[in-house]
Amino acid sequence: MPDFSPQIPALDVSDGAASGRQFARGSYIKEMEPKHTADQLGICATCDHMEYCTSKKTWVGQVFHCEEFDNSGTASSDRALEVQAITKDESTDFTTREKVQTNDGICVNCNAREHCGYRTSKGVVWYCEEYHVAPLPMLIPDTLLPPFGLKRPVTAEEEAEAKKPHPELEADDIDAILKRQGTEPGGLIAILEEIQSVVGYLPEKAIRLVSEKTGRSMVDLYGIATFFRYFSLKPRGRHTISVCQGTACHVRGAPTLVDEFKRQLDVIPGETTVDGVFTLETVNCLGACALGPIVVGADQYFSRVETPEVKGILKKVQGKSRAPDVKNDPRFFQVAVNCSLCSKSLMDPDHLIDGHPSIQITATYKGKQGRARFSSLYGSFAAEYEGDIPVDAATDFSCPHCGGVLGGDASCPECEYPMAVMLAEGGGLVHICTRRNCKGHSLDLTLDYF
Amino acid sequence: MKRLNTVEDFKALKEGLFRSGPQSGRVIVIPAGTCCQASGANDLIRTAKRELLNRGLVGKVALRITGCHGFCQMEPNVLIEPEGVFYPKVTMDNMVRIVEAVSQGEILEDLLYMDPRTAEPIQKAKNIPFFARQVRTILRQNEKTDPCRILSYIAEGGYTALSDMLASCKPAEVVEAIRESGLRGRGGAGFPTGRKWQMLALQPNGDGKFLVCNADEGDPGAYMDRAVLEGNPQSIIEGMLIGAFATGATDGIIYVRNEYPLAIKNLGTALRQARALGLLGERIIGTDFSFDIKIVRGAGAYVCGEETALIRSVEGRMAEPRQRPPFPIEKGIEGKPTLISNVETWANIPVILRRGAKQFRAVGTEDSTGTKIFSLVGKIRNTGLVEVPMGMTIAEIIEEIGGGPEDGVPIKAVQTGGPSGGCIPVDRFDLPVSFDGLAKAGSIMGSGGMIVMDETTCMVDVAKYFMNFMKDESCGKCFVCRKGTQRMHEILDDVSKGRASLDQLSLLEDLATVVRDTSLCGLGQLAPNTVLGTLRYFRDEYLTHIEAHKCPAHVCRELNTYRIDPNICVQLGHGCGICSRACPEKAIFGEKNHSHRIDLNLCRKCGICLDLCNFNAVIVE
Repeated sequence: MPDFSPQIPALDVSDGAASGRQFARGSYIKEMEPKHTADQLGICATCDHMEYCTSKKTWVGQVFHCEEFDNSGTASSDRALEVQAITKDESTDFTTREKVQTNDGICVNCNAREHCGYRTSKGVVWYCEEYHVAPLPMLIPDTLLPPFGLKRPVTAEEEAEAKKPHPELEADDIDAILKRQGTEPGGLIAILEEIQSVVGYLPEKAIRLVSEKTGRSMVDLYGIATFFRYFSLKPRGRHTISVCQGTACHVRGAPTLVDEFKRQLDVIPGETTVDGVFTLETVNCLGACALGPIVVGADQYFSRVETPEVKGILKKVQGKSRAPDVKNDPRFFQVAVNCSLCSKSLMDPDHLIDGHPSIQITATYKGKQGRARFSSLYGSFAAEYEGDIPVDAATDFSCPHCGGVLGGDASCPECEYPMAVMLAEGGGLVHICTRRNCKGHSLDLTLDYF
Repeated sequence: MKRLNTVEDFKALKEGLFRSGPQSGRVIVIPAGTCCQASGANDLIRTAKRELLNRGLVGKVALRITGCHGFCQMEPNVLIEPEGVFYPKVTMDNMVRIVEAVSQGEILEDLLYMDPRTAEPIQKAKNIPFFARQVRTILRQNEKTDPCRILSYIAEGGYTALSDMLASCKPAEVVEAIRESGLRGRGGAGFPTGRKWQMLALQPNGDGKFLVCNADEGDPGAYMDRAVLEGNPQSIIEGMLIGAFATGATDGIIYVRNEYPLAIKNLGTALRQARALGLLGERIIGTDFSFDIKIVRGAGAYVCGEETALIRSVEGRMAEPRQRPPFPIEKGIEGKPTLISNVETWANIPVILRRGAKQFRAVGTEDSTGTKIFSLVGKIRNTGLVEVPMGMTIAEIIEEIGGGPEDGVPIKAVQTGGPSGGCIPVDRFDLPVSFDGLAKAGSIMGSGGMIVMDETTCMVDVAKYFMNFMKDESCGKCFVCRKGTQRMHEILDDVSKGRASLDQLSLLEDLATVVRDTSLCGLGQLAPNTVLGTLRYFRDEYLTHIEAHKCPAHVCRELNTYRIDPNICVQLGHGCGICSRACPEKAIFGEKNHSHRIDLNLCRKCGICLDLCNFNAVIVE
């Protein structure tokens, strides 16, 4: 019968600040926390239950308090850490550093140990409000990467992109969000959702601003931010890969997929890759169960995924950031349009976009007029604006021939701004959102026949 | 769209919609719900539009984009009306052929659905066994309605119930109709809807009353509500309007989970269009009745499916449930009377008013009237959404509609009710699906998830999976649920890894009953159901894990032993070495043209070699 006892190699993890610290890790820890030093691991570093702990599986980050923590002196001599004990002689002001074995519970790797006013000579500490560990850095130097890490080829532009500081939200931005969502207590979750959709996560600064402006306490806001699975307090990678963990996907092998993603990306669910390109997440059922196992990346759904396809999916999701091949892909086709009022053609054969005559209209913003041109390829969002129309501004579209406003009563399904309507050559209507940079559009061939 | 100011305006609008259809009379229907899009429906839609434009067919052949029809196994599929010709798994090239054929009035025999049992092609959807056995009261509307056009809903009879009601009914009469229909809540608890409406109607009107549509659908594996939300959002709006009129409610909320972006988008469009027409908001169709609905998004918490937790989430707080009484119907959102019902319940309301309570009662059983939509997924041939009359047996659903097992591997059990439900073994498939029908086997119908499991599913793994889900989703407020689910998961984890003892098994059963009997809310009370269910019917699997340290289904990987069959490796694979290159532990040794072998001391049992071997040389034991 195979031997099931967990392998516990004693691993020497040392860095400059904590020389001489050694601690034993189960293979379980090795799988989960390959990049953390003893300094950063939190109270798990000295917990007796680490090999069998099922709570920590999806929690990423440092644990400061756990009901399960146990480091009783008797059972865990192998959990004892060798640390530098620092004693200061009051009379001479001379500090002595000596190495001692100790299994004092969480004090062992607490950074505040040096100046702690609570130290008692006996007993094991299981919980302390002052417990402090080193913060996790975002990018970790190569020396701390595990030996079997698969280095995914990362382009120079991706590295540069990943190192860019994340977009910040200023007080004005928060004001705008609050104006849209309202400041009643019920709208709090919607406010946080909007912040996360802009920045990718919930920065502390943004939460503080919301707290100031709505009068809700930080405790309440952090409570909401940590209670609901959707919110992230840490920056996310450029692309989020979500693997569905619904029941149907589970019986069709989703856990194996998660393991393969973990292996390929070298992260655990909830974490972001070192180069900041991918964040791996698991989701509790996307509702596309017949097509399980499902993986979502960059708003694209991949269905019936099998393990060998994982690499291809990662490539496809990365490739999404590159522009589609509008010229050769048959899914992009030309639609010629006419003014819905005077029926004259809006096409400009002299000015090509995507290799085809562009659609030209007059855009008006705050009394100023300018020409705007759009690609006539259905599915291409290429647009050229003359004049000083800011991004995200809602404009009025009018016909360059008759001057009439190409309005209608349709609202953009993406952003709810008004859409302009034109007649498609051959029948049907074309709607384009009047907000600059919005991708809302539709080609409506249904007319009145439902 | 002009605002409707009187009931006559509405009637005139509706009559005006019944004009002649497209010249050829044919409509190409392409379902484009989330799962359909995931299968490539968007490409089909683009291709269809391109072909219609380029061939000058606009106005001659119509195109209708809808939500899910339910036969997800065959997506992306295309339906041709009026004959109902069904084309499964259509590719872009075939789409071109289909457009051509439709314009000529022809049927493409080689693209039709083939019945696997008879090997005969079937032309019309209604003759395909998957559809033939269903009673598609709600799902048929998904075929007929374009979710982004309110006029298409009206053309199919939508809002007629609302308009007739406003013209001639009193609120008490509407409540009575719902009571008489026997409709019970479709969210899982099955509370009589008519009685709920009556209770809300009796609440004082002073400060306002809330109607909530619970679109949180947290059960993994269930997506019936998603199909209705994406495919026919107007039906829910109409249902809530009728409810507001009948009970005196003033504010409506649709609480929809964040993981359904298309549903949120289509609901938003539907609400805007309804307001523009004057069917929602102030002075609806010119009467004194006013009611508006807003969308509140969830943020990923299963517990928000529970009433009191949902209320707290709407109030912008952590979604922890609270003691009941007082019930939400008396004190709900902001302390005001609140009625919460499931999506499918609301979708049935206009049906009851249109057809009449008696006709609604005629379908189903005495205590469970009407139809129910189930998500039939897992190890079954025809996965998808099925709508059946209450009282149909599980066997009929799985064999006749579902088409039986997927790969010929015998079906072992079916999980109903999601993580709160239980499993029903194959020898009890004669049970009828209804609110009380499945209780005899120790399970519940729940919201409608039906996960089929076969011999390659490990029931211990299923119990562990559901307990892990419940443990993560437990809000943490009451100790029993918080600790109980955690401990049960640990024990199940031990069992699945061959580390458990028989004492732990009896501890597991004790814990399960304690958690069930003492938790504050439904999450904790129902969490042990899967454990108790699997222990009741599949105890032998647990014992095999504990005593023999083996997983009969080979799902629990730590208990597997992987070895390479030397003959297959050499003779078929010629020692290709793919496995040894891919092995993360470098545990496979061998040279080209020689048999490879696995060093069991190094093997991490990840299963990558099994997945990659093209010759099936890796054996799992």
